[in-house]
Amino acid sequence: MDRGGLKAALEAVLFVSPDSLDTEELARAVGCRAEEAEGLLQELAVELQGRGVRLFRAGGRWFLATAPELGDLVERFLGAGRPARLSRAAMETLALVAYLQPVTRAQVEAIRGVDSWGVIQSLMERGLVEEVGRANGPGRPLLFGTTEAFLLHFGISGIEELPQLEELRELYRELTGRDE
Amino acid sequence: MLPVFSGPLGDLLELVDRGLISVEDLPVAEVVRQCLAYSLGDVAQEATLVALCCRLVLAKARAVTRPPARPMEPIAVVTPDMRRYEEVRQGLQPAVAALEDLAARGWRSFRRRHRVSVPAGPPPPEAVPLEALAELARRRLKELADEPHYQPDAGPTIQEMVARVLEVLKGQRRVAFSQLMALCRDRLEVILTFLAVLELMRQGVVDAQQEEAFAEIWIEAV
Repeated sequence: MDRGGLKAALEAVLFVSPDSLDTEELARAVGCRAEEAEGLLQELAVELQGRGVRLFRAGGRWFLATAPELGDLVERFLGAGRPARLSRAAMETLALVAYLQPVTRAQVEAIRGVDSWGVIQSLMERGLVEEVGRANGPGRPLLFGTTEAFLLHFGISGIEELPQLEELRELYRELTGRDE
Repeated sequence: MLPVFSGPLGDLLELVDRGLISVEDLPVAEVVRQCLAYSLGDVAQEATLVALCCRLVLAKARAVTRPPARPMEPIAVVTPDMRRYEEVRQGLQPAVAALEDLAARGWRSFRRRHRVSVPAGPPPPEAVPLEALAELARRRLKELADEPHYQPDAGPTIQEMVARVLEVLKGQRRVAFSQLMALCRDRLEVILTFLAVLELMRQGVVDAQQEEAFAEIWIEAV
């Protein structure tokens, strides 16, 4: 199969798949190498710009979803209600997780200066934040990151689409001594 | 007039206002009594004196009714790390603003709602193309052609069974159908014997008789 055929095959598999797929799974499905699939997926993401369906990537997993700017139209079609507005505390915690992920609860609370467990739980119930692993430190605390629903909620196709705030990340790196 | 001051009432008030004399220590009632007892002979000057007395009383009243000073707030211990956490928090505000901007934009995406059935486990083997199957068949046939000719096991035929029935009937008028069946070695011979009897009946060679239901069937030569 040539590159065009492989790209079409990747699109077809993404279309029918009920769950997001990582590059390896997609490569296996269409019968090519993961590196080749990665490149083809990047090309497909660009080609789908301006179309009604876009290619999204969250945590290394790919999925198709409707174009963010058509949100109102699709929402009306589905009869879906608008999501409840996030509180200031929720937005602050979500921004913290989104930009500095993966983060522990203790890190969130140290930065915000207040108990944030309730807010984290609320964000998890709304599907915007999830556990993504455990840190290697004492007690192996849970690490939190954003979800695919987070991307859908804000209409961005990847976390890298958030406005770049390198200063924030640099401050955090200095604080935690963590290399990203 | 006072141990700490002697002079006009206006000067006294000035010192009180500046905090150089504590009004709490002043015998204000005595000062006012002395002032009011002092006649200036002029209504305007006496009115001014009364006004100054009022200010002094007011200052004293405020001083004695002032709430006690609040205990000093504990001084927060700010470690370098806490300062840096605070810096991160401050740096986070643009991130919050960015998310709020995205939320205000009102853009949302939706995934497909229905789920499709995806079989668990490894994918099934790929289908063999027709050409490949045909090639395999051709190859196998060529191999068979090189082998000794295939001879399927030749079973009995209806003709053979007809011959058997006629052989049994030879020399006797009739034979029991069960006797013919007893000669059969397998199910195929049973079927073929039955068909042979029917064929002989059709040709008018034999006839079949049964005296009553479930009784023996006799095959008779016509």
